Amino acid sequence: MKKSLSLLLSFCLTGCAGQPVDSSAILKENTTPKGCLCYRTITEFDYSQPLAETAPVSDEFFSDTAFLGDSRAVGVFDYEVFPQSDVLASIGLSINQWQIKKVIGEGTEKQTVWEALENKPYRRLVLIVGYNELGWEYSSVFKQKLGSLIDGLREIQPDAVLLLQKIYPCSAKGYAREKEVTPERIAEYNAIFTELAQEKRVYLLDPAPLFTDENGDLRAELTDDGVHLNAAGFKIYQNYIKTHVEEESNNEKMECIDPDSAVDRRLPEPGQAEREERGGSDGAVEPESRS
Amino acid sequence: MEQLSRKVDPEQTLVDVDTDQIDAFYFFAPGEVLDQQMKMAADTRADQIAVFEVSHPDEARKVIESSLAAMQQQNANYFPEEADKLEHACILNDGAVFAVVVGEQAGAVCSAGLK
Repeated sequence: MKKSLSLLLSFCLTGCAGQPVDSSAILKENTTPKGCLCYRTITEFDYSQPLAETAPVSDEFFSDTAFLGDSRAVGVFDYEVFPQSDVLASIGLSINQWQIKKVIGEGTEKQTVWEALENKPYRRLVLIVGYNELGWEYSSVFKQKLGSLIDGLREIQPDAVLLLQKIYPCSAKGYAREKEVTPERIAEYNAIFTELAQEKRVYLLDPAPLFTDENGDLRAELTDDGVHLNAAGFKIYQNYIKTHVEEESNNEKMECIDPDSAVDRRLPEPGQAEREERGGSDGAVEPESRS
Repeated sequence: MEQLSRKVDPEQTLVDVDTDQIDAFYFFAPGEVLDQQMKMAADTRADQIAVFEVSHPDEARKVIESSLAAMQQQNANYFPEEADKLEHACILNDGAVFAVVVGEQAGAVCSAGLK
């Protein structure tokens, strides 16, 4: 019983029914038309799966987030997707250059990505990497280097949550222009991301399903050059990032059930389960059940 | 390396690359490289010097060329001048030792040869 409680907690708020449930921890910005929110908390997290959809968070949530990586991360800055966040990224940058190339900042004060991270703590780091490494001879080298990078980030940013964004595809036009980039190679690298996410307990982001056409390619209207998102693409991306967050308090959104037929699945009173197993009440009050 | 560095980078603008990071630039098979050093530009230039002592010299040139091609591709879209430098890199060889020079001095270095 304890294990099932720790694994799955389901409950439903109806607001108007005046249920004695503390809603402050879970009430989020959006509500369904019926005014009923249903959330499920999963405490045994499966890092091999991308973050599931959650209620949207406010812009303030990103005030201590940094987006790190290559030109696909630079777009987060160029299009002002999350102006509250920092973007520590540069076009053409690969992960083996994070401690070498002074490309962050302006003028004579430029730093490497690593130096920038050593100088300011963040609560969340979103890694947008892998595209510039698709041409590496051995994907195993990429896995080893990215694994070491994650280990290093944990040392210099010990309080930060790490999120690893899978590589989204190119459009047909993009594939035509990029010699080393193929859907198969992207899939191979994304499999590495999944392995590393599990090994290193890093959250995965995967916005690709929102971007792709029936062929699995980046939709032409979401990119100008076939490789990078345009304004329309970043609009979708912004909404995705705001609705796929890792904090437990945001929970996973469920379909709202009909409140008129809702079954009360709230957490039982402490000790209730044991009493039930023993086959009777010890005088404790049974919880109300709603029909 | 020091000789090359003085010739190619007299103003000492190139920075050392950690030995355990070099295999992310030059994709030699494990165990192939007996000794190596690398310096590269700390800005967006592709300028670099790399020196390798390898087990199998017959294969090393191919590895170096394909590694340079990967770097060239990475630069092609954003830094075409740097991609051009990589395309015209100087690869010098003397027995088991290979030296790679990328930069404006590459041509002059190649003409002088490896001593």
